[in-house]
Amino acid sequence: MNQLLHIPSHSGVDMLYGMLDCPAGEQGSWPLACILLSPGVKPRVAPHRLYRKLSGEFVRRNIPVLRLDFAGMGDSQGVYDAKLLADVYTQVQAGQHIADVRAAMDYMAQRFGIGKFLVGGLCGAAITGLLTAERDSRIAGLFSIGMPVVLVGTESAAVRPPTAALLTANREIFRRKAMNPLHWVRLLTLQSDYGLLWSVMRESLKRGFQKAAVWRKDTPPENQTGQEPAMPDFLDRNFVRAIFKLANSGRAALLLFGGTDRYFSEYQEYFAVPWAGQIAAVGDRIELQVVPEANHVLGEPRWIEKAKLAVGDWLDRIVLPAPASSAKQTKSLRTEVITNFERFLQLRNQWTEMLGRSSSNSVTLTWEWLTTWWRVYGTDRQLCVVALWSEGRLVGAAPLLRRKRLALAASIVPVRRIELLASGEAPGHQVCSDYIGWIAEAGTETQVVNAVLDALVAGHCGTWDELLLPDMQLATPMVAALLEACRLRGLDYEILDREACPLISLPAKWDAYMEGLGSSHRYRVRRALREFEAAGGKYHVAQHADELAGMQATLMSLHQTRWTARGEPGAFGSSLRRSFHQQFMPLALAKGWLRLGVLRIGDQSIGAIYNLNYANRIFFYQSGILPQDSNALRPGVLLHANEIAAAIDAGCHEYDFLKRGESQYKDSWANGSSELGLVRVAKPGLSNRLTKGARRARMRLAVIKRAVIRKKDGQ
Amino acid sequence: MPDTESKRPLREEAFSIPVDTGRVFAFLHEPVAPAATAVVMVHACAEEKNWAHRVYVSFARNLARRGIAALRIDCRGEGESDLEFEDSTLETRVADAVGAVRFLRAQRPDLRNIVLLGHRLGAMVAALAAVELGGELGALVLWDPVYDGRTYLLQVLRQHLAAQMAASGRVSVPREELLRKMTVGELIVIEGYGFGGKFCKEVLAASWVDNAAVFRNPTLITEIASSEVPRLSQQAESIVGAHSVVTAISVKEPAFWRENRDYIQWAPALTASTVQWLESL
Repeated sequence: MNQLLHIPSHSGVDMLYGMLDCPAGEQGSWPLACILLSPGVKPRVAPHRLYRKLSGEFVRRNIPVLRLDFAGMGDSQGVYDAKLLADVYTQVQAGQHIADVRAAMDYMAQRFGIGKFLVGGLCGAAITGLLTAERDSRIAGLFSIGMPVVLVGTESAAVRPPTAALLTANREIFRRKAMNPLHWVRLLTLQSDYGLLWSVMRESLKRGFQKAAVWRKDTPPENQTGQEPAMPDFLDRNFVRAIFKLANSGRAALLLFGGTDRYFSEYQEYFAVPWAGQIAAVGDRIELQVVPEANHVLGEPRWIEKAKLAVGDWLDRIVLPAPASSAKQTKSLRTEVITNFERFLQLRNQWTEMLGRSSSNSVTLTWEWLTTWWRVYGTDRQLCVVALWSEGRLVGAAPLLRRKRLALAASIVPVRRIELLASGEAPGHQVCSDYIGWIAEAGTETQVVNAVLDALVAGHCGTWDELLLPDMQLATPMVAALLEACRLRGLDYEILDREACPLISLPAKWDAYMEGLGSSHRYRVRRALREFEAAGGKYHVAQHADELAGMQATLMSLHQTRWTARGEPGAFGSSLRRSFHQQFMPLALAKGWLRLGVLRIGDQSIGAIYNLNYANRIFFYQSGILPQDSNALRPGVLLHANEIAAAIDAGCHEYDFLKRGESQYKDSWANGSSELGLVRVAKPGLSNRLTKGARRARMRLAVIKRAVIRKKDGQ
Repeated sequence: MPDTESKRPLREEAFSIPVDTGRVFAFLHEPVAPAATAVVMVHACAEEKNWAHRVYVSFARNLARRGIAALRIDCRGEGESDLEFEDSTLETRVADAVGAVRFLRAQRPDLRNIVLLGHRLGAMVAALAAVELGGELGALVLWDPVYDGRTYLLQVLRQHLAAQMAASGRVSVPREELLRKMTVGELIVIEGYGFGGKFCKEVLAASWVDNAAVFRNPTLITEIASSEVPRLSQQAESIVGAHSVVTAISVKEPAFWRENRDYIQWAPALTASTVQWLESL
């Protein structure tokens, strides 16, 4: 059974189309779905309907398969902005379709309640699936056929040396032809394809024997040293970064190749051999399967059958046993409720390691951020960190606190409230810790959520009426697991205060990023950089502890001057908030996370920015800009331009502007967004009904108030 | 670019059309106001269908924005429809085209005119379906039609030779031998598509060029060439000479049903000439 799905794209303009191949049985009983993506520029069935042939292997294991057409491809709406096929391939390798995959996952989560996905497909689909997995922890595994590991369709691709396998094959073809008089006759009677002949000879002789030799001379036959090898220009750095990130987060990848596919020999020679040590370190999470003799598209029935066996085997061995092993962990999870701050301080190493293994690895959930927050804001609160242990390893945690006094829900109803650590500050003093929440090793979200709820329901954190969990990233396995667990337990839950965080999925090159900007914004950025350089401007980022205090003061002064002039308190007006950052910044600098940058022209500082570089993601936290009569120098533009360029150079994959708020300018830089929201969980009962009733009443009152004001203004 | 030309709204809907013992997947693009004319589109065969897919979609959306409904079907054995490719035949494809026209007529009784359009082998299918549909059809459009089954199959087999060369560096089975094998019922797999004996025999035997029953309705033959001054083929000229209802033109477009250096999402000259002809009906 299948059905065509109409999936709203993240742009909100175009509709994406995908065909869902459904397992028999009840819809909604699927814990996992597979999304097969447009292969290159082909529609969602793939060449010779390859995806339809493979889909059955998933469906028979109760895994629905969504075959998705990217925007501007197949049946989906939209126009692809590319003149050449090579341009399309370049854009695909730069992550052009990540937003489409995420839109499809959002849709599947909303409609079918699915929180975990396998993604991938053939060629361009494989790299898109991988790049999305790097950014979205809902992806539990990658299914790839014919993964390109070199840059395809770019200038780099044109100069990449042929692999040894390709050279051998070409030499073999020429050797056979040379033995056959008919081919000499064809050659001498002008019947041969001289263009092809010339290009093969040129490739083999000029590039093959020279450049390949140069490259191979520097590369050990198999690198088991554990040190990262040098990357040639033609290797896709996005692939290398993303595949290890996927594997290091505990997720699995199946890399399936046809044995005669050029992409296979490139994978072997340019990745598997030089990176053998690193691949070995991630164990069986990167699994290579080769169908001997098969070509890139597996264009023979016997090759398809072998591919089906390989996929089925991978699903049965690697993907599907996961719930069983997780269930085993549930039995062995030990719960510790930490109410003593000294005990929390002792967990530094275990906490850091657990966070690194989780799918919610954000700077605001680090031990450094949370402990600093508690030192500044802990007064009148009781620490309640629920830690889950398995065989001496910290596998999950809910960093919580409870107020020592009753809180007022909707400013009226007194409630016993448990909140997330690093949230709930008094108005005017908020640190704005975006991306906080509960933490679980990837793949154990359901078990961790249940263990935490068990502890809460049993009263190990005291009695409570509501849990307030603000600023959690909504499209995550953690939130999906939490909502599902609440539903099964009969707890009331709702998502409030949704807000988008504009972000940039960073390409490998600055020029590629600039090309993706709107023309007027691109012009502004280029002009600002040009004028800043002409004015002799310098951009400096704090490197040492001894320069930190001065640069911190510059940031705060520039920020406060500008905002207080507008009659606003400014982000650093609160002594508590200032204290938090004065304590956190040195910790962040020591960890290599802090990017405190100042723009100077001569002796004058015209702008400063406070970013955090954590786990290859940049979080834009705050900035300060010199108030000036004219905006000629555009310090705001310069700060972000310098930081984005530095992030690209450092190999970061995302630049996150955090919550948009009133700052519409963030959209002009961004090419995507993530959504945060407040998850409220409440025990059903009178208190909950009163709280929700009071909130509704306040909302109605606000509407009436606005109407009255409008009417008054009209009169 | 096609979709930025106009932002006029359109409706899109997918459904299955029951034919014989199977289902044909269909995608309907409609203007918001009821259309008087609909075009049923029959695609090319095998990988030519995949390469041409986006041009088909763009053309269908363009029609819908101009007030003409477009129904794209996947013949059985291809796309989202039933049957394996090797089990599909020319006969099943013709049945699918006929079934789609009759289904649309039943679903949209207000339609005044239904036009059948086919591309490459799909044009041969459309021509054969037109014989069966007779007066049920308002007009016929044939884009770069396959006139001769043998020439077409030899073109298809070239890919097989290329695959042999890539795999082993030599051609072990020449084209004529492959063609002979096909006609005696042997399955020849070309890039994943299994060309069966029945299908090949039907394609070899299909004779539509000299069939007067094909040309009972106004017919447009559009040949596609990449040359600056495209010229009509002898087959097209002879058809025009024999049937007064036939118009034949030649337009300059790249062969969008094959892999090209350019990424082709849209065939402007082909679209413009076809739309102009449809609007003149």
